[in-house]
Amino acid sequence: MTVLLEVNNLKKYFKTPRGMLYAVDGVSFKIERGSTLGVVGESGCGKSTLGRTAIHLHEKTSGKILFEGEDISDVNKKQLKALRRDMQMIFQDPFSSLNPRMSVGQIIAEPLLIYRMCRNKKEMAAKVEELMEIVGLSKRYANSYPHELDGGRRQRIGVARALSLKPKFIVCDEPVSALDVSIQAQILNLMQDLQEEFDLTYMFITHNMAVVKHISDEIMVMYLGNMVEMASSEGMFHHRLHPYTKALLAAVPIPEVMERGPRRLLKGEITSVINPKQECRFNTRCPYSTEICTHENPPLLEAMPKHFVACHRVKEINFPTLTGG
Amino acid sequence: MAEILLEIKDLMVQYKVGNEVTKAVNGITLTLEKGESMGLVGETGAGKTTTARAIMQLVPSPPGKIVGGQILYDGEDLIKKNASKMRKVRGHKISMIFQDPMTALNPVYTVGEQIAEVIQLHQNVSKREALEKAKKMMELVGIEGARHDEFPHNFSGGMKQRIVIAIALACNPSLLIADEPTTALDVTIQAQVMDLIERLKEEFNTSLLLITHDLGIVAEVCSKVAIIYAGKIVEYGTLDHIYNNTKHPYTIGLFGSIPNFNENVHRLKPIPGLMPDPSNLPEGCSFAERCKDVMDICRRGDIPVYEVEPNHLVKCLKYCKQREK
Amino acid sequence: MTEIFKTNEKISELITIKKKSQTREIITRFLRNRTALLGLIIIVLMVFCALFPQTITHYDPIEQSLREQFIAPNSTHLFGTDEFGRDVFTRVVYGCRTSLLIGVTAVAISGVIGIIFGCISGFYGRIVDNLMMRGIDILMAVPIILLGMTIVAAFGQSVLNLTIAIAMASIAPYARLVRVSVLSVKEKEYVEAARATGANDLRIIMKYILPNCMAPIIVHATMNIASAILSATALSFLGLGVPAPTPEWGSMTSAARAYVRDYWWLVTFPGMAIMAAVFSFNLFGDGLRDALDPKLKN
Repeated sequence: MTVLLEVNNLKKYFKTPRGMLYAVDGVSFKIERGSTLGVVGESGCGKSTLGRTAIHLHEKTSGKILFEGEDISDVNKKQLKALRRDMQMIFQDPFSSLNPRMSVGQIIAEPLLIYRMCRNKKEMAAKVEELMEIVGLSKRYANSYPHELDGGRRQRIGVARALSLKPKFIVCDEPVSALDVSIQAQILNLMQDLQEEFDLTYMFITHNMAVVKHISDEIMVMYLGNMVEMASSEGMFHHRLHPYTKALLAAVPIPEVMERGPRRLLKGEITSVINPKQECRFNTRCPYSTEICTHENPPLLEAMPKHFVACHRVKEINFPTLTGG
Repeated sequence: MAEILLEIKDLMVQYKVGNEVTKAVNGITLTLEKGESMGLVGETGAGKTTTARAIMQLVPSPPGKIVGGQILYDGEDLIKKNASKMRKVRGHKISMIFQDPMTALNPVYTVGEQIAEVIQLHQNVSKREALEKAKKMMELVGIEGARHDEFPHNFSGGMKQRIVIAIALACNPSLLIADEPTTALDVTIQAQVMDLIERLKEEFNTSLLLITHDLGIVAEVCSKVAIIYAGKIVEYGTLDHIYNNTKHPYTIGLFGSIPNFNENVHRLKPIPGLMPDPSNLPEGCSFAERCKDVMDICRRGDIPVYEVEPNHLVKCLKYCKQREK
Repeated sequence: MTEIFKTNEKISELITIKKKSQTREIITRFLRNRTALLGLIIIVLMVFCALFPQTITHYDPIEQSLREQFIAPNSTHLFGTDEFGRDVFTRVVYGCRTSLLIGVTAVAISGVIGIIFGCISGFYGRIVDNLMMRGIDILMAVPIILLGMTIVAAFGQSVLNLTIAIAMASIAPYARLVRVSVLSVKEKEYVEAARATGANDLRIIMKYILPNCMAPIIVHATMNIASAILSATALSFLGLGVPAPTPEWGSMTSAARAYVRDYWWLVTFPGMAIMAAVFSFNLFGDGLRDALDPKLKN
């Protein structure tokens, strides 16, 4: 399996009136070609910023990005434009990610126009039709405007637009969160089919645990700019080593009739990470927090084969019988 | 025999814009007992928010209008009440909390003032007493009473929703209508807020009408479920009936669309197509076009409601051998 | 994969789409507004007067006929004649041409310059924005009368100079309006999406940002024509505008000041024309604003 995207110690900070916002603070990962990396977390964890920074929609503050083995950390405008053909994005809100003044056909054709991929109008129209068919949009909509269509169809337009340049890597930023449940399922199936057919690699950003489990091969959990756990999809759900992951998964309401014990709630609120101290950022809400957690940010370590966790007490919490001596 | 608090009979609500008539609610019948919690489950455009607004007599008119049916609360028909009588009911006997906590609070008044306002409207107390009660409500929902003089923008989304709950429950209403109360919140905060709603409901013996699209939350909190599609209730019964003995093809489709936490499913089974346009509903069953078990007779006439087991009602011709209700 | 798409196709065929293009919706909404329609009718009449004055009146607006001075309105001279025996009705009709020409040209010039300023300022932000907006502030501080006087004093009295003076005074509101629109649209997700597909700055401004700012600009431009016409008449009234003997409502009213008591028609009809013109553009602009209301775009 070849590694398509490799990110090392990526940092993205934003200057705000109240101080420096450490949106993404030293995240590293690798995504293999043809696979899906799910990135989960709640508001303020930095997952959207991570996705955008990885494809240069935000200027990174520091870190390395390697695409197909090549270092693309610092690129000029021309190289960036060439890169964009391989790295695309699908956005969350199908209502605001489409230009209301352009028709469906024009929106899908935009990337083709910018990169002069077609020699004449006829070729362009044919390509647009082909793309619409691939995503399941009837070609009758080519002259419609986004506001005339429903959420599911609009999102298909977004998918078609992302596919038009035949990219290798697509960052999907909450692509189904704004859709109804039955439409969500249609779009998720579509994305899976497209991945198989075109050998696509996805970074799938979401806050929905069930969706991420369904679609990802590997999952990364983020909290306030840090990656706190990374494992295979199965491994993550089976083992859930980090206290935050435990709380996150416990909080998801399961649509089944069953005996429910008392809720184990996470106390406190999600804060924002401006000028952070040297500490584990989760310690204020962590039920297992001890002294060391308040003055040292835990490093990411391999707690189990291919399962990485950033927690000082990971062994004690999860394998209490093994610690000792 | 438990006391019936709310009884909706054959409610019909329409919106008229120009020449176009949108049939938002087409004959909804349901019963809610004292202390009971019911989940009203449906997707966008199904008519759930309109139903909630109708109960509160808050349907914007024009263009909306209740064109038929009864809403019996404690035996009295709310539709027949005049404006000033209805104002006495709102906030006092029936309260509602809305989806978006960010815009539910008035930004120019302190939170204490906003809670005290509802107390003063319905109870004969002085301003100071009302503020004292307001502080007590804040403590009850988990916010320090000392923060009563802060403004909404000082609070996070989850805390704002708690304040909204405090306002709703300040006068101890017998019925709380919650319209997607946690959809806009993060998962861990959602768990906190749902826990709060449940605890308070127990403490005050309030009936709860929970409007949502999330089958997980319904399973956690509700004892009765009504599935709403295109303005009609298509399946109605206890939690056990709906989750373990699902009968209506739409409900089955809904369950098939959600990724399962515990099992591994390769592809989801979405419901093909879209909900019909409420201003152009087809004859016969509104779900006919998307139903894989559709028969010719489904497209003609009104579909009767059948009782497939005691207190489990389904609006589907597949069960016509059962007793009609 | 293909079966689901096939079912979707069948279903979409059964569900009819109401294909109303946005423009048609806007036009329908506009036409429902009676006052706006009135404004539009008057504007159309004025445009007709401006383009084909010969079809309405056969008199010459400039030729003097001293034997026919000061004739009160009658069947041959609908609005009477002035101190030089010229038919007032004809001069009012020809005045349409002057006013509309000045109004539209001034708005066009100030519009283009203002939009460019506003776009650059709003899009690039920070220092560029700051500098440009301070420049606009300075421009706004100068009263138009003063500006007009300066330009006429420096370059002489003519229609062109009048137009330029009015245009310069109108740039500021456009720049500000466009800047605000650009600032809000710049943050929209579809602009980010355009960037993600490799669009450069110019393309983003021209195709993504500007078209979405046009509604308030169009409304403002329409109202601006009204105020431009008013400014033109004011400056002409003061003797800074259109030189005699070109018929212009402002200069006509000014010249008629001396005769207000005895020959009321010399002041009244040009004055009413000014009122009608301004009134109609304002009504039209109001109607446009209502029709373009984004609340109804959903």
